[in-house]
Amino acid sequence: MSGVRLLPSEFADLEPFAPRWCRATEAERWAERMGSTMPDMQALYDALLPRVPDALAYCDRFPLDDMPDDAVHLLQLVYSFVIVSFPVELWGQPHVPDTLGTSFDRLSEPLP
Amino acid sequence: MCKYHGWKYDLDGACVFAQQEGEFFDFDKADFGLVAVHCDVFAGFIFVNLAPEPSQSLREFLGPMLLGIEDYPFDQMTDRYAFRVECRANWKVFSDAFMEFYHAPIVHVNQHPRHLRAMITEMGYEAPHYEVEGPHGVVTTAGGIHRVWEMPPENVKPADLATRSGLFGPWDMSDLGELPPRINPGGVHPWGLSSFQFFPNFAILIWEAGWYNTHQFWPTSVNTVTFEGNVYSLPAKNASERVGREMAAVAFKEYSLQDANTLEATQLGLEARVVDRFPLNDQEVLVRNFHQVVADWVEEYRLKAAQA
Repeated sequence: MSGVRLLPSEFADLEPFAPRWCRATEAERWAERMGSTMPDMQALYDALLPRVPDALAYCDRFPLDDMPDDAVHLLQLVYSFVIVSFPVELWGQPHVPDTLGTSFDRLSEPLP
Repeated sequence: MCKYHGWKYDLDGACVFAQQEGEFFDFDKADFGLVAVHCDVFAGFIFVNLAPEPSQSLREFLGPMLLGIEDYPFDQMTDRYAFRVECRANWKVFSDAFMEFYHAPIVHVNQHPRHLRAMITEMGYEAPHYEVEGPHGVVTTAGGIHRVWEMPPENVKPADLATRSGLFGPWDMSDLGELPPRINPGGVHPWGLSSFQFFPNFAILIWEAGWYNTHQFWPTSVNTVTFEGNVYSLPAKNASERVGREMAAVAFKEYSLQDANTLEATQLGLEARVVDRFPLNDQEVLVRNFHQVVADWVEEYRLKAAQA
């Protein structure tokens, strides 16, 4: 681990996932999912699933348009949990089954 | 401004500058403004009509069924997730696919926990209300089987439980106040969603949980289409609400990919010209009406062109 801490100290247990999965946009998170193995995504999923309620309670303390950077990173990590939950819970692979060759790009979204 | 020769136009479309104007012959900028098209606004959505003189107004064209949703608070739903794909299918192949929901227990069944899939496919799906008015249509779904938050937890994906959201939107429904009754034209209770099909290439789907999405089909050739999907909600008040919207937007992409892929295969099949008929069942009443209207309009155009 480098010395740079991305997440609030209460979520230090999730720090190993932060450099890779704290991504601002769905396009980046989707690319990360497509480039991942199932064990990688399973590890993120398993670590996040029990922590989502606490993470959201932490982030809810701030207005969305004025969140400290570490809270924004935590929110982005929850977004990555959401995007890997489909391969982990349903598909057993990064792509939606039978859709190779098809795309549906997200062009814009509210931030963060 | 045109980025090739730098011609400039004002906000009314008049040409106000032509590069090296003196080198043109018998030239008057006033003759070369932007070409005007008819447009009108309904509920904040801009509709364009390319006819030189439209034969009816937008409101006449939409009719009472679609005008009935005008007071839905579309303007307040400014949290937007925008998607687009270039798809290798005729635009009508794509459009047809969203005019009924009995495909859901087949192509989308693996969005459900594994132990439920066989039962869901076996049950099939019948929407409780279909309605056709002129070229347009609406289909609504019942909310009963969609109320995931009332299901036993083993029937719900853990990520849905964690985010209190899923395929049908955030579970903590947005309070939108009193809604126009026509968004649920069949009075279906419990209500799921209403999918309003605006002929020819636009649809608005209004969901029980207090959000809506749109579909737009832009034909780019006989066998390609640009499909745009947008998901709209009230602005999230906090991170929890934002994550609920994210889950709904991610689910929207997952099932849209499932839809899009089968449609490209359908197009390939059509182009093989081996299959020359598609039987349409009772629930595909909007599809049947749509193709009848398309055929009628094409025929009318041919007759007019032949007379001209």
